Amino acid sequence: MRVSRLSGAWAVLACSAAIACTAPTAAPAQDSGFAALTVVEEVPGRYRVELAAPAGALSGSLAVVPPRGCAMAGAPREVRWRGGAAVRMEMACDADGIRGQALRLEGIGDPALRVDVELRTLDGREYAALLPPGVREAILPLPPGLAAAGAAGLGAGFGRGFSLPALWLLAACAVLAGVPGRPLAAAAGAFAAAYFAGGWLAGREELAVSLQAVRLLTLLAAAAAALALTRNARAGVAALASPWLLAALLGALAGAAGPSFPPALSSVGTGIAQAAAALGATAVLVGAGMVAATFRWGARGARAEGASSPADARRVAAGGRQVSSAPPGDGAPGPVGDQPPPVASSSHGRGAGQGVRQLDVDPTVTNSPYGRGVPDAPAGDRPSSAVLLLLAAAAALVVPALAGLPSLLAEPAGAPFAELFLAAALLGFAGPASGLRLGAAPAVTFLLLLTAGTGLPPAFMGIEVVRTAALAALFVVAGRLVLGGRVDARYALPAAVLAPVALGGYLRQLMAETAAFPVSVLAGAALAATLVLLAGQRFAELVAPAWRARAGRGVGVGAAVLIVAARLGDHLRWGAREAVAGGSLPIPLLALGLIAVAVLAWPRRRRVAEALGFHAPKGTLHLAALAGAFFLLPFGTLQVGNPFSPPAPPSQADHLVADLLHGTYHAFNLTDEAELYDRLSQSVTGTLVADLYLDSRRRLRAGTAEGDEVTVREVALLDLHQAPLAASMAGTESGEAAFRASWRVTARVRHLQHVHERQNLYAGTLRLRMEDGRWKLADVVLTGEERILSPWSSQ
Amino acid sequence: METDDATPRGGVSVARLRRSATTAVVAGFLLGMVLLAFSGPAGGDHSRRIEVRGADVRRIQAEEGARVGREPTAGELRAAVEGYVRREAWVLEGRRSGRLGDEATLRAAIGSRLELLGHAEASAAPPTDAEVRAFLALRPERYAGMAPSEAYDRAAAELMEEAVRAAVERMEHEVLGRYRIVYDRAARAALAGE
Repeated sequence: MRVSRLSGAWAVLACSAAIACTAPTAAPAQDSGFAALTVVEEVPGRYRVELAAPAGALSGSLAVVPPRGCAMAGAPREVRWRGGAAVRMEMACDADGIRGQALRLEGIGDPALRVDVELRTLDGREYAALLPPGVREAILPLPPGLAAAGAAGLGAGFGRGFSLPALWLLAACAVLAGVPGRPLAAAAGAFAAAYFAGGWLAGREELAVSLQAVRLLTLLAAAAAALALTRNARAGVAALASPWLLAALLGALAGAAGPSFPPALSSVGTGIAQAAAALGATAVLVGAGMVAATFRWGARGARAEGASSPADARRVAAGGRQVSSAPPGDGAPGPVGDQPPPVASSSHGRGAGQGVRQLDVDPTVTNSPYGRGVPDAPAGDRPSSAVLLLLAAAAALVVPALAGLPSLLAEPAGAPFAELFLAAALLGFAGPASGLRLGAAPAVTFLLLLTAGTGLPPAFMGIEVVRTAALAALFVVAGRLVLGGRVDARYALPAAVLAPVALGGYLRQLMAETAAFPVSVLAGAALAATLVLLAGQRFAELVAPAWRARAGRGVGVGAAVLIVAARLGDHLRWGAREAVAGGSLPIPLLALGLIAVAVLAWPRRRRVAEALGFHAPKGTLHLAALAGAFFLLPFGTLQVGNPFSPPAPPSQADHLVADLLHGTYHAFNLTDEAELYDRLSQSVTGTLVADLYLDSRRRLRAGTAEGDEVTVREVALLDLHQAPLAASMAGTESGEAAFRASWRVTARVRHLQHVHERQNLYAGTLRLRMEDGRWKLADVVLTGEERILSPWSSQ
Repeated sequence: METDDATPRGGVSVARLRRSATTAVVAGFLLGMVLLAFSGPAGGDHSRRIEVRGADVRRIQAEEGARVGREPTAGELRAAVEGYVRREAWVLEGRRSGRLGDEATLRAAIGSRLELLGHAEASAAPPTDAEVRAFLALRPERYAGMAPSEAYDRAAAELMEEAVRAAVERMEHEVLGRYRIVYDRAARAALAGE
């Protein structure tokens, strides 16, 4: 036996030596160049195929021979330039598609040339390969199966979890607090699933999260749980009673922070349909769990507060208008780990539910399962503020979308508007220019995706309409807080429905318009605002009940004032923009009509009714009409000529020129060419419109491809000097003015995969002339221009 | 009311267990803080990160200086560093997309692809006659003194060149936008000429 083994080993060694001696030892071949083959599925079954090669490698016309089951659709288009040639063609394939097929390439004569192959299919997959030199047949592989992609994603999620030390701390806290193994296993699964979803979203560039933010949040959670354990063991139990929730949040963030970590999560390998199904399943699971947890906590809270039966408790938890007159009970203590002790669960219930509902103050009614009118639990039994805030922050961002609306619909008169008010924090006062940067796009994105993932508002409404709707809805919500529950449900319900959708739509629009940094700014500001609000709630919770109503109303008043101020600012900017152009005056017909409605609907004293002792209910239509008139001021206007509009004096020239440039370039944001031309003719005289249109469009769209979007973001006047009417500007007339100016046009260019900004700097002489009652650009002579691409450095 | 002193399990009281656990958790938390504090800058996935360090900038500066025979200007240095970033990105992109090959091969393959496709795209849609004429009309001073046909040809060539450059830049941005490019403090200082 030993001899035999030894002989085998010697035989292997001998063979290896022989192979090593006889194998060619040539140096690796140098690449003589590359051709590029690109196959893109544009509609199901139809592919755009493009082959490009350098001039030195060509041996004839470039061509791609369709494989079996595919046929050429239309004639191929070949283009040649000094350094090479390319051919583009369309292929239509049968149901089996092009995957698994071989494409034969013709027209490449250089045998050393290698072909670089890229394939992109409609389901989001990418495939790339470098063919060996001389190989002129590209075999496109079959896609990986769903099971393989899913397993890779889940495996990566678990793997990533092991690399976060703070997660280990969290798990240790949970184990030490007596959380049983099953919830811990569920938490691990939630982490992995959410990691899958977060990674996919980030891979699609829908979400941008820095790893620092994940570390910070994970550490914060671990610290909160650890500190809670040191102070009060039950609080720790309460904080970790449902660790899967926290794990899902952290998993999504961790997944988003490293989108390319698992290959199956990037666009390579995982199809859109597969990943979307996984995302949807995750969202449904998280949502169902949130609702179940909220209702369960509510039911337990209600039991602890004296609900007579489980049915009562469920009814109370579901938002039923049960007046609880029973004194709060301590409940029977239960074993740690079996179910949270009643006091702890009640506190936990407040953490998740009351924490976001406490602003819905009405000291006269004790109809909420979350403790309105219920004395606070002893201070020593509460979870720490940090834990409460953490849980409330998570709950506040997800519960409104999932739990708020059903209870709202079940009991509109007692609608929990505080959730919606928390959603208001996402937008109302923390716009994209607020400047707060916390570096993360955390659970806000969940809210966004869960409430407005359909993209409905941006699809048919402009950004201004969405912003107006959001602000108006939030104003009603704030009014509900100010008035302490006296807003009629007829107005409150639409506002409550509109607020999350409009907010989500606005946020989505902003996300679509901006790259990662502004998203972080917005989301960070929203999170900060939410936390500040919750801190205020917590403060209100600690003070005497009589002060809670005042605190809630104070917040509502503040919100209303800020909203009105924000809208007023919009109006002032709009008015200034309209006024500076001169020539025309906007008449706000819609707002005037609404004011007329308010006057007509204004409640009047009915002396006869008073004499008879009748008290007719006061309607709120007049208030709604007045608010509508305020919020909708720029809409439904009629432009009339302004006979008092004087020619712009030199002191206002910069405003005038800036406004004309603004109007000229922003016209290019219109997609309808006819409308664009009309809008352009409002700022530019007739003879110049065509040239400026062609030239500006070409420069703005330079380097863009079909499907790319170019949006002018900013037109900044950098320098302006009055100039004598130049001789080069033929046909100058009296009543004209000329200026030497330099200006910068910043445009956002949204390609398929990314967004970047582009700036064009211009210098030139502008001649202005009064036409049709307003100043317009009559002539432009460009003396300098420069195109600047924004740096791609993200830090 | 508290259950800390009750429910002995396995001969050890829950309270005692928790006291020990608390100590362990706090110690572990502090240890975790220390570990995180010394774990270096936040990075994320390194397969999507391009770091430019001070040493890289100094090396590029020396190479560029040797190439041009003098100290490179700030603009030249910046362009050379951006070229370095591009070359690094092409390698990462080649690996990310599943191409096999050494760094030089990946760099050349991706670079060639972008150049070829940029040229092909721009050549497929040359500037129209109206665009050339509008270009000329808005820049009369630039072509003053030229014959009309010469001015037209020059303008058309400039427009074509600009279109090719823009198309290649756009494709480069498609790739570069997938990566996080980080300049460390020393690199920023070196680029700023400090």
